[in-house]
Amino acid sequence: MKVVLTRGDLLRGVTTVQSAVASKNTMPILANVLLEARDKKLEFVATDLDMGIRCSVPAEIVEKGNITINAKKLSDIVRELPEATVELEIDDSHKMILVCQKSNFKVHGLPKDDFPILPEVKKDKVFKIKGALLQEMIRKTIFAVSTDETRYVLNGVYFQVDGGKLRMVATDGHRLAFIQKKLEGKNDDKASVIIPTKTLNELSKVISDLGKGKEDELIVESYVTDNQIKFVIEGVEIISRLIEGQFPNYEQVIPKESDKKIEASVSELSSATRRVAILTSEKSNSIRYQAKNGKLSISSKTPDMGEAKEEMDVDYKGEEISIAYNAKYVLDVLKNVGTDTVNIELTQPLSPGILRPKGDADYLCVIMPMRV
Amino acid sequence: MPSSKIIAHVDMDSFFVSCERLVDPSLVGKPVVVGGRRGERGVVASASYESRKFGVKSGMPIMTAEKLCPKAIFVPGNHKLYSKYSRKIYVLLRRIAPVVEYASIDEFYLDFTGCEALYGHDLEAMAKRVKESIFDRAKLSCSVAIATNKYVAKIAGKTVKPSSGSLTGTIVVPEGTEQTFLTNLSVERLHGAGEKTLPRLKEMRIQKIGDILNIPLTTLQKSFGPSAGSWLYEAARGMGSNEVHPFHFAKSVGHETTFEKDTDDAWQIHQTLAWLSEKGCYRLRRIGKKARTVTLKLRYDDFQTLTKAVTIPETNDDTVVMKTAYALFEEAHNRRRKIRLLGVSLSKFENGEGEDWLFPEMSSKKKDDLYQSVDAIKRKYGFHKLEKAASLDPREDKQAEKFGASSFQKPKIK
Repeated sequence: MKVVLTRGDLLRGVTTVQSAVASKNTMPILANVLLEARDKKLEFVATDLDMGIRCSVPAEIVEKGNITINAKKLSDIVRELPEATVELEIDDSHKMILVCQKSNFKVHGLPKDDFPILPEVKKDKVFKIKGALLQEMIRKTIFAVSTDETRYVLNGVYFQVDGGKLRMVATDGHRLAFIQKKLEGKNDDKASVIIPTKTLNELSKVISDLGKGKEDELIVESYVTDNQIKFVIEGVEIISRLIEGQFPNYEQVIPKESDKKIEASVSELSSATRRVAILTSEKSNSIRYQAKNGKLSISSKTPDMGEAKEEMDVDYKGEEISIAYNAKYVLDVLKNVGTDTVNIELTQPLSPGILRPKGDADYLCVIMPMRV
Repeated sequence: MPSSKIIAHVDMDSFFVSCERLVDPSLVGKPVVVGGRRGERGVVASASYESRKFGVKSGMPIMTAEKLCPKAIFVPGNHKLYSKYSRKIYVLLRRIAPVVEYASIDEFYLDFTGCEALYGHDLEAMAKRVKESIFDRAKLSCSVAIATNKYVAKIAGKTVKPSSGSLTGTIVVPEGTEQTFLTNLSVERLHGAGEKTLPRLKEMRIQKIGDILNIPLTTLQKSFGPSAGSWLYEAARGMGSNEVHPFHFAKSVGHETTFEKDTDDAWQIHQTLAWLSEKGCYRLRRIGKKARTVTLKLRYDDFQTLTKAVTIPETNDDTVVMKTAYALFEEAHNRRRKIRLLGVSLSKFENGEGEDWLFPEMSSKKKDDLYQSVDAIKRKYGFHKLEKAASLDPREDKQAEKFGASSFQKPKIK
């Protein structure tokens, strides 16, 4: 293999796939990135066996070939190189010689034979959505994912397509985030799968890297099968296994009706919550919200620590209600609602409540109150 | 005012034996071994001083004890009875001392700091008073040792046991004399020095605790490893914790059982695992906790012992733990040998309360209600009055449990 390309292209290729490299090294070759010189382009592949990223950059191919090289070392080298042309060449003993102006590296690699092959994902069901929308959907749900590995179906985001709409749902069992957006074009296919958190984080990063502020113009294609999903954005492919299992029936836990609707300013509510939350502890992190006649009082009380109380004006005319929430759950939602005003819909002190942005019917979060 | 603390260590004299003697006075003065009946396979849980003369020690197999002391009377053990007396003593000590730590079923630490004046600044009198109070109320004897920290108090207590010919059963190690007190004691008295440390000390020809004082810290660390080395350095100088913890929090609950006859019978193994799981969960529910880790212990007839653990969603549900224990067993059991012992323990506790679940399938509310009723029956009529069919053994294989076979013995079904 012998390739000539710009330092910028090489860096882009390596950094795009690098995050797919296994963090825990079970197989040494998984710490490597596969370089493959094909017609007029150099292809990069990295995988941790759960997910993989493939991309390619333009290059002058003097001689076709391939090699796998430690991803961290390669990116560290390329990052430090001057902005110039880079020449890559492989010798007979799987060493890669990298020359850029006066710099000269010889890096030990491993042959491609041992590198896992990314699975082919059938182009059966394909859904298209704008990059910016998908990013927003990821951001607005992923915080609610469970990190409890014993509840593995909750370790990812539910991805459901029905009637030309994409719904994404995440829950850790105590709170739930739901969002839906329209897909591009007409599509009657249905799908429901659970995508691992890491895959979505990588996808969001790739969209940012490629969009450079114009994510709205990017179209993300997703190919869904029973066991795998593939996202394609501008030639970059992210292939991931799916979480097997049955996602809990989320629709049944979203309260249908509410007789107590509070309308509050997001910025006021979040700063008040943050202040009152200072006097909570790991063990008792609940905050009490009490609404009555246009006022919302927020308070905390922790034994051996102290108590805090704050009152703010809200739009509320219903019966007096008092409910206790984990402050973190409330703040996570407020950070993501994306509007100035939030609607809080409650029923009973021990029943789940809904928080949703005012005037946006497509996003909502359900939070289970704490029993105090 | 002295800056040091006044810590008393109360250690009951051959506690299980003494409790048995209260129930059956005919055992007084005779060599008694608690832990299992003659010919059974359990281990010695407690031995009377009469039997200890023959070399019987806690922890040795019952059969070995039989050989050493053929005249001994073997009693199966009744944990419930011992717990009852233990609680009684705890309650009594709480009235005497401001802070009491429940260190084990037969050991307590008391913090008397600030109470000197009540005893006329006479620590000997204080120790005597504690010992007498326990004897007056519970008719049980014990040793009481007072020192400035728990470690020295514990070691001092062992030197005034009836077996060492002490008449008083009390001792005071005044502040500043800790090192002198320890100097002439055998290194075997160093509590915490065990199978690894003691032989190594012997190899180095160190017999008295005082001998350790001459060895620099770095040499000790080289010979025993960094942590054991510095521990020895401090222990020999009578340094130790003086924190008396008023509450005793269990970190795990679990039971294990030695089969009367080694077995490879799948039915019996499953039944035993079911029964052990059920007992563990019952205790878990009594302390109001849920556990996230289930650990299986498996000992083959050649004494090879394996443990295998798994983390699951927090639970106190018999059925879940049973299934987990079965799965762990299938995973761990990989030899064509008979099994001698099985154990199931639960750890990594979470409080059973707090946030509720959004999803009914994750919520354990229904199960919680069920178990509340089950446990109420168990409490009132005994553990075995209501148990899972999986835990029943139609062939009535009796299991000699480590302590307390009789209290947990199954009712005979004929």
